[in-house]
Amino acid sequence: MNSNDVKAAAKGLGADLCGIMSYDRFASLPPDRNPLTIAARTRSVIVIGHRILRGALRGVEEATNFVSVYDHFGIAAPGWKFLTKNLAELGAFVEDAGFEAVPLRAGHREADKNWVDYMEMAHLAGLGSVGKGGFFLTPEFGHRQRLAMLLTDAELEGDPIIDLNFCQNCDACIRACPNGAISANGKVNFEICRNCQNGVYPSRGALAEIAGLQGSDEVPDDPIDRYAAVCGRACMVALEKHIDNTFGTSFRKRKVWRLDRDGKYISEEK
Amino acid sequence: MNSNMIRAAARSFGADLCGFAPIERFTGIDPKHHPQSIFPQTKTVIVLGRRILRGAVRVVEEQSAVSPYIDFGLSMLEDQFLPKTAYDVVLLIEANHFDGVPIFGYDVEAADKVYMADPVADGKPAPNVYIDIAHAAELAGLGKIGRHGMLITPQFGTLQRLSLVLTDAELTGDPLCKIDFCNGCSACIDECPFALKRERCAECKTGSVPTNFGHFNAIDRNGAACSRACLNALEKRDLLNRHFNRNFRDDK
Repeated sequence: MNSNDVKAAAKGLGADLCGIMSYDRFASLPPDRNPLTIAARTRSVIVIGHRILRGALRGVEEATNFVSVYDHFGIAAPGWKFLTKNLAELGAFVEDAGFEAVPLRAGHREADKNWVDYMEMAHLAGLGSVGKGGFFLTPEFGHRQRLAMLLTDAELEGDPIIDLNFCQNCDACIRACPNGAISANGKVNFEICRNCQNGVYPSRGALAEIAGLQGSDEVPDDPIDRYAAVCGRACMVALEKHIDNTFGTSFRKRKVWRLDRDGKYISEEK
Repeated sequence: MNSNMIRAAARSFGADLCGFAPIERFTGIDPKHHPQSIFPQTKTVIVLGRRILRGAVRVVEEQSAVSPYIDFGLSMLEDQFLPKTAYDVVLLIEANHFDGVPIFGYDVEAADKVYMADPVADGKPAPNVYIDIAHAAELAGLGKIGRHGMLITPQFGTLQRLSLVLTDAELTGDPLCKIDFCNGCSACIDECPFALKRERCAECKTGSVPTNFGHFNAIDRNGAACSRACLNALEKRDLLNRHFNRNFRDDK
């Protein structure tokens, strides 16, 4: 089993993205963020991703549906159902080849435990890099994907690391946020985000209950789900001509709705 | 439609295990656990299984985490992936004009402790009737129940989860598994902090997972010391037909 076999299997199962982080990159990581802390035998990390459909953000963009569109097809379906099933099945593929596969969700950290930063893993697996708005960006889908990982004892060839320059001269996410949660240097104040009324969703820890999973001593890697929020959608619109997943028409059809922290309407020009 | 056709389809739907038990093999089983109490026309019990990744148990073995096991070894496997496989098998059976009744794999021991309702008529068992799924798997030739009370299969040892489909189709049964997995082995007892006294499983901190009321508060043990000891012993004694490049524990 080599890297190409793994990627072909991942794509065959339905993954939109698959990147591999090789063992030589582990040395740069401190113990509290190192895959070896979770499974000492790990020699490679396989990161897979499912796109979030552009259409899944439509209900929030229009401010007419916040549950049956994004909640189901932006969060639960790609994050909790399809992605996890594909991860388990890719794990079976790896284990059938005689190697072990430790499955890890992205938003999936246990209190008082060392963990891996899924964005760091995805970056070191060559899938993209973190942008100013705190989103993981890929050349294929911009900020629109959810990621999960397999730690394996198979020694696989790593993908080249890419540093995207999507954010150069772009402050779309910063300008879009009505609450000043994103600073010019790209630091996000998630405490402000928690009170945002512009399309943020609860953290994945809280979503475990929604998905019918039992509670555990879990803390989320993403403090809040902002993909469909005004910042995430601004990033998407700014990148729509720069990513591979292009459309015939622009996502944005009208002026953007925005509310301040008190729920008061603020308009923004298209 | 025959057993092999269903087996091949089940594999394509994600099943790692698929066995067939003709209903005659359930003769003598109490009506409160009998498949025909749920579907009287049952001719065959199909037992489906999906593996628990060995990697999902690795985190418990290393004491580095529990949630990957809870997600991928328990909750999502049992509540999402396996029901989809069973659902797809039933679709296939229905497309062939037979009935298929999908059954979730509750822990029958835990379920029996919870009162649900009185029988609706004389002669009927009280709802809900739950089938002993590990025993059904034995009768379908998938493996044998070990000293620890969990199913052991030649493919995955203790690492699988099961679901059932009852059907009125008469399908060829699989031969019973004849492997004596335990054969004097006491690894599960030796590594259990309570010497396998089942009434103490709730106190176990070696990887046992207490489930919620919806699962009758059963104690899941597939990641616990007893199960991991068994897996290690089975590998060491070369009783599994699936081999990894490295044993689960290669330092002992």
